[in-house]
Amino acid sequence: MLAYIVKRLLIMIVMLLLVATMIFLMFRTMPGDPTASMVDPSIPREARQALLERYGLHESLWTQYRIFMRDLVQLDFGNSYFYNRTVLRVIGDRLPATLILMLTAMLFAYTFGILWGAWMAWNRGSRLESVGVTFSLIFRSAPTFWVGLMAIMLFSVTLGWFPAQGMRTTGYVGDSFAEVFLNRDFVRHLILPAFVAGLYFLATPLLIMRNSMLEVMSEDYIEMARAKGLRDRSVLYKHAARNALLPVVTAGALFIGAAIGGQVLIEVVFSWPGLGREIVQAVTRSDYPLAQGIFIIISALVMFMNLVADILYAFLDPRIAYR
Amino acid sequence: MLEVQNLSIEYTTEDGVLKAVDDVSFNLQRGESLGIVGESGCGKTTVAKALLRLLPENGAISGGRVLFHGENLVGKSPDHMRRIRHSKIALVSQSAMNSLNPVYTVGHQIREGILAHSNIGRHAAHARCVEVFGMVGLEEKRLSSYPHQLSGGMKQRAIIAMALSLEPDIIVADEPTTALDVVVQGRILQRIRAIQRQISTSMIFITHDISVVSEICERIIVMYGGKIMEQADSASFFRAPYHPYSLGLQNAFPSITDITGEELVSIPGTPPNLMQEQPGCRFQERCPFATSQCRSRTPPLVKVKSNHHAACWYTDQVNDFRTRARNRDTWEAVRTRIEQQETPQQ
Amino acid sequence: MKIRSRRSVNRQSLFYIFWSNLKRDRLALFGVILLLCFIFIGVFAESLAPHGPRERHYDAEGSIRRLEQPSWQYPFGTTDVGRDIFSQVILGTRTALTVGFLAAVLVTLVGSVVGIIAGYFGGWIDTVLMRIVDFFYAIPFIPFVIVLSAILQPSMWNIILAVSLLSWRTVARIVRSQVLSIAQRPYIKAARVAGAGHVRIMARYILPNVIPLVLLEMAFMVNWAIMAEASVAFLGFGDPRVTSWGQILHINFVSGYSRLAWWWTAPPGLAIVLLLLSIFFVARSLEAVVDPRLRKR
Ligand SMILES: Nc1ncnc2c1ncn2[C@@H]1O[C@H](COP(=O)(O)OP(=O)(O)O)[C@@H](O)[C@H]1O
Ligand SMILES: [Mg+2]
Repeated sequence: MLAYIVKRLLIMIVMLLLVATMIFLMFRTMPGDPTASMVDPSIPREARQALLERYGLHESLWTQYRIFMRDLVQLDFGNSYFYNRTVLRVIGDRLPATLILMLTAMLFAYTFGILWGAWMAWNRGSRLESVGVTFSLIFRSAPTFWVGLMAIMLFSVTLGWFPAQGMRTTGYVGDSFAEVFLNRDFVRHLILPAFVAGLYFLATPLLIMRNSMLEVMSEDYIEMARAKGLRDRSVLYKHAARNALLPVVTAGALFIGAAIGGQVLIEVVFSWPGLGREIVQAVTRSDYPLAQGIFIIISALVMFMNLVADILYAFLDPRIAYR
Repeated sequence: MLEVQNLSIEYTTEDGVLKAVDDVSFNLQRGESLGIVGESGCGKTTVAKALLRLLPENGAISGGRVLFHGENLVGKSPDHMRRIRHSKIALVSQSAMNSLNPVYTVGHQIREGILAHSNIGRHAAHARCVEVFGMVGLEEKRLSSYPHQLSGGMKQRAIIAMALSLEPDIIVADEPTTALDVVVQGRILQRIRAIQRQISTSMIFITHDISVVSEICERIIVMYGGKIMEQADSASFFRAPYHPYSLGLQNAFPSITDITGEELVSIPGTPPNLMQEQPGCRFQERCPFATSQCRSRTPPLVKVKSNHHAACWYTDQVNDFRTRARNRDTWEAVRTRIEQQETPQQ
Repeated sequence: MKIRSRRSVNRQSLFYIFWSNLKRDRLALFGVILLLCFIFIGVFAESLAPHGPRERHYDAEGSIRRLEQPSWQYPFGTTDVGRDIFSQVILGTRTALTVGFLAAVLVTLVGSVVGIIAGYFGGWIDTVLMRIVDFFYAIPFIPFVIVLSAILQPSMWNIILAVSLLSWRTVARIVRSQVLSIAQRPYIKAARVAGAGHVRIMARYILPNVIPLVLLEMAFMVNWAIMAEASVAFLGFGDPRVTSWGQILHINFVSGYSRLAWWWTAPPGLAIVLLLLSIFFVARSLEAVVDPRLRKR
């Protein structure tokens, strides 16, 4: 198991270096001033020259690439022009907000999706099932950002139940992690975006769970479980759902990449100070080092969550041999 | 102990209603082992599932009673049935290969069945698992194996162990050895017989292979097209079957004891379409001795000897039938007849 | 997924099954009708839209019609600078359909070719291609499209390109596993033994068997591309010269009126929902063609 994880981590690092290479080439080959990706075009000439040398931007592409990679493995993503701080620090500030929102939404979506999907399959043919399927199709077809806008209009503006944007009421400053995240004000801010993101994530586990349940329920071991005189609930959750879960985890791993996209949109709509909103702003402000850095970190996040999903899968399915 | 009376079962399908089991009656004494034989599709599994009320959603018992210790199981509440399953009537299902859940250990699955019906605690349950594993000849350490780590024969034995675990009154074994190779099959059959004698539970043993029944069962039921064709003590049956279908079946399977190696003759034709309402005997289409009477009127199950019943109009001519049935040409004639009937329509 | 084990699936019969399925499945019928409506609107958008997308409207006194609620004249009301939202939504239909279909065709083309080659040849070719697929799975979609459209000029074509660059992997994976199972069938082996060339086997024997699946994936890809385009445009990286649903919502959002002017926010989103739903229903019915087991459910 350990060997497997180590191997996967190594593959992940190679992949990340490839992603970094790709993004390096993308910025270097872009039309216009390629140095803009490393050095703020608006600073004075001498300073600019010094920086160009610092990053080797007057050198060949190959040298530049070596410098870029050398810095990267030391986690040096350069400086953000806009914040005038290292990219790593900006990312460090933004990452917790993104993670909390995303994990809350996923927890919500996967818990409900799996339970509801299993229930729908168990009661197939019922009215509630077709209502459920139709609803999840509608939510899958609705753009997240639009659902977010509508939710703000309804729940924040019209009903006034939840704040419409941000992570905390303006004026509030917290220092420690606990002060920032573990208070009622924060939770009040979290509910609406997490709910909207959760709705977006929900359709995938729900529909896959339902289909996979339908498949599993015709398996012989389900009949055997019933022949053993187990209670319906036991058969449903312990046998059918437990096995139907496997494709949900597989699909979940593939879905994570798309989920990050949804996360970006939600963060923008709710002005949630996370990585997703930051990358949009960085690109808009031509703050390329920051955009580059966030892109690489988000890729790492996707890969890491993929790895977690794979480990989870191996954990859930004893037939998987670690290789 | 178990009395099945006039049981009929129907499946509702897209194309109409299919009468899979029609007016089947039999009973089973304590400690007795009963074999149900017939070609695939004749309704054996359907009967087995109906006893446990485990029919698929589109299947329903349309008539008859299943009396278990005098109580009619048809119409009992789902919870009542749940308590009877496994603890009183245990199933060894047709596809043992896939009857174990791949994500739990075998031991877990047996224990689960025990704990669903008694509150003896995990330790006692585990001890019981070890015990039944011993009975079927599996090592204790196999309890912590996952199904994919076991061979087909081991899985089958684990399933049998599971069925034994609560000492049920009846074990219903639906083609328990069909998926296994012949050598393993023979070994498991012997094991089943030994255990059944040892703990004196009753057993319903379902198979399409008539020679297996001669090995294990005291009584035999031959089914065809959802109906009972013949019902008898094994000894009496194998000495002298009465129904032409039984005669045909005997030709089609080599007996395990008799290895003289006579050539096998299978019964020409295919089982009847159960969608259509059929007048007359179900077997008449493939029967070498069918007459117009067979085509128009359904023969009742009549007593031909003590403990021996057959559903045929011509049980009195059985001696003649037996001689003719041994002749390959008799069955070839049926084949020609069927082919002739089919061609003009196409 | 299994497809019918016939040697080659003849297109006419596919269409026939789809058609007879429509008669039974009312949602699919609804989907087809709705989709046809959208296509009609998309094709004749210019004639159907009563006004230009940027045209400003003034009332009798000459002052601008700011944020007017829906009326007979302006069915979806007006924007903060007096533009007709109805016309914008009509014109956005064309953009959505164009992006959706072009990207889907591109994606399925590339994906199927890669999938067939990987599945058919196997060995190191398969390994290499599948590693590339893995790599593209590791790239977060929306951030990539944002960065790419920022680097390139924001235009509809670049968005189509960006979407296609990352999405072919999905199709490649699915087609590959289908091909893997088809390649085991006896007639393929027979064809190989008979000395048929690789290209010929792929084109004559394998392709016809994956076409239903590819069509199905294409339907999903249309949706995916439409959603992606809308998202990118909503974030403000869309083609500024082309009216699209995402762009309407972008302007709505940055103007700050997304909290008040429901008639401005709701229609483009509803249009997306309806279009995607209609394609989903059509796809679901296609799915029944691809996978006969589903027909009974
Ligand atoms: N779920 C079902 N739906 C419709 N028909 C069924 C179903 N299960 C079995 N049948 C039909 O009922 C008949 C008896 O089947 P079965 O009891 O499985 O036979 P056996 O076990 O003797 O092979 C067959 O004709 C079969 O096609
Ligand atoms: Mg059977």
